[in-house]
Amino acid sequence: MRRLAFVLVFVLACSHQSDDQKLIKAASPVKSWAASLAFASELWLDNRVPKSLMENSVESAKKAIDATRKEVGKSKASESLRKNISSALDELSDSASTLGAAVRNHDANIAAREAKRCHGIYDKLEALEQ
Amino acid sequence: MKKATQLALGILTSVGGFFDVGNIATSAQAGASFRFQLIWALVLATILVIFLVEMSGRFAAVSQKALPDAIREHLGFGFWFIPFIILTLTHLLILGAEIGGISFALQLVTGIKYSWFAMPVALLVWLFLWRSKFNTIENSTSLLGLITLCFVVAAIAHHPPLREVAAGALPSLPTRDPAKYWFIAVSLLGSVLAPYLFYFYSSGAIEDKWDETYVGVNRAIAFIGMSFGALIALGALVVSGVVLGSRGIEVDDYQQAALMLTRAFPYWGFVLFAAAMGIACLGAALEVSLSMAYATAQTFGWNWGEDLKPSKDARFSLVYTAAIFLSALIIAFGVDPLKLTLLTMAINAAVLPFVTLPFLLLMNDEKLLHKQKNGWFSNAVVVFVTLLSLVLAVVSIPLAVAGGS
Repeated sequence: MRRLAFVLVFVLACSHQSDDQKLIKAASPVKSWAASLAFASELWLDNRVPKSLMENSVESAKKAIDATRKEVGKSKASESLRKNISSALDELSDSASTLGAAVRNHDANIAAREAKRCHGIYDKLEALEQ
Repeated sequence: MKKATQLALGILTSVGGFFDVGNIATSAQAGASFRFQLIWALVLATILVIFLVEMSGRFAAVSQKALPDAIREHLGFGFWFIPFIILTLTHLLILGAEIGGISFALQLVTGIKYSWFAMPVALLVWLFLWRSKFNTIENSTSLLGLITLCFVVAAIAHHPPLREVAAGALPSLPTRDPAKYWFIAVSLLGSVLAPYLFYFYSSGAIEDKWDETYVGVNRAIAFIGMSFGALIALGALVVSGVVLGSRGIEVDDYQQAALMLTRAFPYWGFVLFAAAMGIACLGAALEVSLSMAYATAQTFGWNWGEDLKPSKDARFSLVYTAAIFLSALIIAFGVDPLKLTLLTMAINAAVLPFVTLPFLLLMNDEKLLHKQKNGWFSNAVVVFVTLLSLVLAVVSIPLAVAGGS
């Protein structure tokens, strides 16, 4: 029983993180969604995925952005980190909305532009992890 | 000749029947988050599942009893009742995850939210069970399930770095996010070592009227079938690592996983993923439903058999009917199918001691198994699985809180 308790304590200790690390981890689904939107847009432009996947992906990305915004609000991480993440969230939210409209209107040029923008947001969030 | 046909069919059905929503979710997440680093968990789980499936088939063929039947008769109802309740609740969650998988596959194709499909899917699964015989279910869905071989073809098409893939087969410590790493490792083990598989396999052996002469056939099916099945899961993990992991996409939603075949199969990869997911989950949903009905009927000593008319085993039919519609409610209420799947796979690993402990006792009963009782090596494997499961049970729950969301 003591050994099992030790394993439990060890695992919980391993998962201990600083406030900055916790916030970066909380933002990782958004980073992943930025990459997903970029990739899915490229595939949509190539007619490899349907419009509905794009629309549902945009919706899911926005949910992830909202969830991360709440985490930023609660976080005790450094101000600069919170500011950088908030700015990336705003940018991705705007890009996702524009992308959603571009898909609805079958506007390939805007979709291609937003795919590149999502790539850029991913890179920004990735840089915060370094 | 009959045995050769059964062997071939058994291997095919094991390949098709191995892969389900748990394998899709955990392999996709493992590959996307840690590339090939978690292959070892899949390899370990495959070795263990080969032993456990072989034992459950051997037990049924020699003793002419399915597992819960024998546990009740030889170890007593009191011994079995609590594990039975725990396993039944776990199976309800697994069935919910499988129905969620089919519903999500339909969402991918139609764009309509998955929760709307939960009840129609439940009706389809129920109708299939109500109208079909055991062999029809076993063979048709499992043969259709061979569509999941597309993950293997895709993995080969991507020419993954073989040295890195081979290195992944050796256990290693995570370089980042240890909570997530261990949670996915636990889920991968749980997805392969699903308790329903053993109850379904042993009851299926009774339905197929196996006797002691099938011990060799059983061994071959367990080894070859499970190995090829694991190859599909490995294919999915590798494709996910190459396509999603390299782009920084983690699988937090099945929509992200659905992109993984679009590079290897440019114009139909997306539809192929939806078809593979839908068919694999349909096969598994049928197996889990039947497994629950088998376990319940055998625990209470009721009539059972998918080949009997529902009027001849009304309580057996009632169990799968209730299970299907109760599980579908979880998805109909909008629970995220991927989160449900990952959590359920970790629970699978946690409840394994309830499967392996009675199993170990029965497999060493000379009165039941005569010459075919377990040798020291098989016992050592079961003890290892039990200890591993016990540790996983303690570790997986805090990990689910810390890193599994």
